[in-house]
Amino acid sequence: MNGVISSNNFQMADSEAGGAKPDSFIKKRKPSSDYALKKRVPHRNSHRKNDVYVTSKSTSQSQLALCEKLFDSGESEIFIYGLGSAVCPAINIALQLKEKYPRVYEVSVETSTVDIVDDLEPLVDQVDYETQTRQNSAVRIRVYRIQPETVKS
Amino acid sequence: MANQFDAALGGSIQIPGHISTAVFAQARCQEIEALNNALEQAQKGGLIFQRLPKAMRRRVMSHHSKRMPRRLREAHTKQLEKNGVPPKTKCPSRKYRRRPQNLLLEYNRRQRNFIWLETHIWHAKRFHMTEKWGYKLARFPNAKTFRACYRASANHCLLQDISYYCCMEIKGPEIELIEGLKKHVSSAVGLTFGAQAFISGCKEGHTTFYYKDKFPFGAVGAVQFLWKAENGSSTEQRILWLWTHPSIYNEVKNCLIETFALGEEMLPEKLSEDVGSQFSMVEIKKLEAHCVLEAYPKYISSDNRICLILLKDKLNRFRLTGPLSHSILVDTLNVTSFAEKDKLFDIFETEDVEFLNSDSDFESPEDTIAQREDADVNDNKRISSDSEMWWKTYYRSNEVAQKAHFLQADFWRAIRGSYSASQFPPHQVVALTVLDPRYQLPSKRVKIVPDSKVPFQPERHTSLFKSISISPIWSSEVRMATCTSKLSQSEWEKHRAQKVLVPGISEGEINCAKTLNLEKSNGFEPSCIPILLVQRPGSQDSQQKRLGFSSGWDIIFPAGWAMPFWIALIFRGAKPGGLKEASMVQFETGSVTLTEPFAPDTAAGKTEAEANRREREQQHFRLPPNKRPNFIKFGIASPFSCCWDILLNDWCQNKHKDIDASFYVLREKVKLDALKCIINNSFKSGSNVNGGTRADQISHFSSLFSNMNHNCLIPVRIESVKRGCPADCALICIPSSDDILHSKENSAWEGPVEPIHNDNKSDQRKTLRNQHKKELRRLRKQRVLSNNKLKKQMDMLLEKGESISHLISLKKEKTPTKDFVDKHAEEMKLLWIPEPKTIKDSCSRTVVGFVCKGDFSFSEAHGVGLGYVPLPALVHLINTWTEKPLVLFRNPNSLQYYYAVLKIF
Repeated sequence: MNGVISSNNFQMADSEAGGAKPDSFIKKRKPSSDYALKKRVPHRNSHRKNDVYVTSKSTSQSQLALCEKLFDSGESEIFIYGLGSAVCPAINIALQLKEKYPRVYEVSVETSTVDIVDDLEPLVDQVDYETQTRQNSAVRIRVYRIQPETVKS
Repeated sequence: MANQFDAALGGSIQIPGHISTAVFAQARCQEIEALNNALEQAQKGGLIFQRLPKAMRRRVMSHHSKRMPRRLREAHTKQLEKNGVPPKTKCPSRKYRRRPQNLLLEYNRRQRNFIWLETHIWHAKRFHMTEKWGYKLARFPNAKTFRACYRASANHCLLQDISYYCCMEIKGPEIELIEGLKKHVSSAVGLTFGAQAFISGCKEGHTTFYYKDKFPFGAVGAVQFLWKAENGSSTEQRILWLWTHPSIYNEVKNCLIETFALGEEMLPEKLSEDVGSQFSMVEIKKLEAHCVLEAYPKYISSDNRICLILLKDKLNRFRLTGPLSHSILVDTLNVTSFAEKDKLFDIFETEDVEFLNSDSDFESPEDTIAQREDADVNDNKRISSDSEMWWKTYYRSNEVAQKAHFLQADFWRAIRGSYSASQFPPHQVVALTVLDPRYQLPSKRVKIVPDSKVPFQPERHTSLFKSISISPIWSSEVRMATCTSKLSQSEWEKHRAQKVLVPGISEGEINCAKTLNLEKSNGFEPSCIPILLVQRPGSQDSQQKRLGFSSGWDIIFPAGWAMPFWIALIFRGAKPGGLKEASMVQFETGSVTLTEPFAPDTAAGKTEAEANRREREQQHFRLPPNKRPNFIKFGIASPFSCCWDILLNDWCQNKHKDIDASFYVLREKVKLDALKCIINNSFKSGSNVNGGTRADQISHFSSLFSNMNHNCLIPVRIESVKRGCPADCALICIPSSDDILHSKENSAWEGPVEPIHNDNKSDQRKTLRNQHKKELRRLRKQRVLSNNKLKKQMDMLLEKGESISHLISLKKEKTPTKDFVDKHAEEMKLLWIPEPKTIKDSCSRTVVGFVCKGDFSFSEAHGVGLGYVPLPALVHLINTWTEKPLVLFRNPNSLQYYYAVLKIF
């Protein structure tokens, strides 16, 4: 939302990146008519070919197809990343892969917390730009091919 | 055997034994004469060219007489001349034309009317060029890369040369500047020139410029501004750079001159001779062509306090869009040259000790350089070679700048691990002094990707130090010195050939101090360029667009350096784009405010709209009648332009009897936000949105808008729901209750269809056409007479030796029926597309607005249109909506309506 910040806008903004938060977290933000909340891109550590970043807007079907394509092109493992509200779709995709090809792929999950920077853009001349940092949960799922021997045994 | 002629052989004819020579010769004479006559007469008819047998004729002969057999050539050329075809002038040889001096002359001749950017020749080889706003600009790449350019802007890096944006410098006391500029902006639109956020010079501001005290009417257009960052000590005198689009440049300039009561323009003077003496003639001419060697045009107020300096074409600006733009810049820009403190002093101490002692009391960098240049003239050769290295003088004398530089260099090295420009503070300005980008050029075009080995330092992105935007680029002497100390490309190549430079140093850690020593030993010194990087945040709201979409950096650097930077960026995988790609990025970003310079209430916008209208109209009437859509039957009142005045007139009529012709576009943030809340949020379930119930919102909304002038347009965005893709000038309409019902019941239902309108002008057109034909037939004799007359006149002139071009212009002069034909064409045009009287009720659904720019949006994967709706129409729409903010749109060349959702950005 570009709009003036109020409690409700915060909820809107959050729904994209992490669902409902405890009230204390919302209070931490500057509620005023002086600032508009703007977001920055969270950092991505890895830019390899086999990294799949899932967002809450991406359709699961096409993401699944992308993962399959990566495996078909010879990758032995892929990494699926999800942040905030995209954690769910990320897990979904990994599990769908596992279910669609039983005893071919295995997953290992890593969870973490990511710092996210928000900009507070001034709406009036008298104040300066400010930033605030918040945390959000993130997941990294490694989907890898099980060795054929293991499948046989 | 049976039929012999001679009687002696048995035939019937008696042949006399002798003949009389006189009689015989006389008879033969006549025969020969007759034969000769016949031969000559056969040749006289037609062209010389036609005397050739068909097998020997060649098409080229018509314009290339050397292809004719030699015996016919002379006659042929004469005949061609007689027919008015200009004789071939001899073209100088290619070798002559390509001599640098002659080539440059030719280039300068060609940019007399439309200025070339420095990257013009590079672009002209690869792009479709167009003449716009006094510049010759690249429109789109010849390699059809429209989609590739979108992908570059979204996932890689799109590079544009936007040096045509014009910069103005205003110098003066801070308070007076802010006070004066305040009259041209409104705090309701956004942050103004005096905003706390921008005054320190760390961020670039954006706002809409208005005519003096005319707000909300009288918008001039969008401007960007940047205060000069001060060196710690706060001085009263400040400098402001104002960047404008070239289409509004003159308006803004005139406004400023009026507001600050600035005097007459002081004409620029040519720069002193000694600067030029180091260069060859060609080099000087080249610099002159870029107006580098000229002092800047100035306007100074009567009390000598405020000064306006025009920096048009004195600064270059490149725009990099996309996530990879950061990695590419990190790889291109090397701040290392004198970053190590000790090294810098080393250089000074060995070289300039005497000089340092003699001039210890410098006051400002500008003075320093001026003094140094004076010193050059005197004698010292060593110093004159040093004066090329402006950065030595500058940084030695200015400790604050030096410290700032070390911090900046340190910062630039620390952020190598970042992934995108949108991780930095929005609109942040980063000043750097970088090494000539030709030093570390990849040997072939490569794609730079972010280096995941370098650790990411989050603290570097949130709290930036104050001196990050202190830069020597603000000093005109430094800019000049930067430009004049540049090695020309040919010199550069020579040095490279001598292996003075090692290509590919960029790999691994660059130790530039070493590079410096290497060059110094060869009597060759590197140039350093002060640059400014301006961050563009792109999308900052994931609800509207993917976070960071269309984010990137702008680079600002002095004139003369465009090509080295351009090549350096291109060689690192940036994709070049033209005007078409620029407008595509704006369209995909989806923000209407970005499409300003061309908002419909500005003069620039009106000019642009009129030019577009004329072009579309001409294109339409070039088609044969049966290939043109009949817009009367389609019920489209204005197919080529958006008639805002008529639309506003239709919608505001009931409320205001006396209608002001002028209108304005709503840019006030608070009001737009209120509208946004009402439209975007209120139709979601559980509508407890922003400030309470819907009733509360509406009361808030009506209190805001009750006192407003209704002659205003609201920028909107429509997104097609199912199929269909809005085109330019598409109509935005209100769906009837049946339409909404249909769409609910039948999911396959695309939308209603406009019934074909009755074309009541068809008979009139027919009669008019018949009349016209008849009249033309009547006037045929006049035309023939005047044609003959013209022919005679031309023959006479030819004999007098008049120039061919003059004859051709004579030929083009109007024929006696030209006025008549033109008048008929105008009448006919009006019968095809009558002047619109009303827009609102021009078709079966009520029209509420127009789409200014509509297309398929790659980032949204459906059709999107950016347009405007008058305020009363929008209020009417809000009252009719019960669920979704649904509207219909219809393209000018179609009867089909499609559904779309209306949004406000």
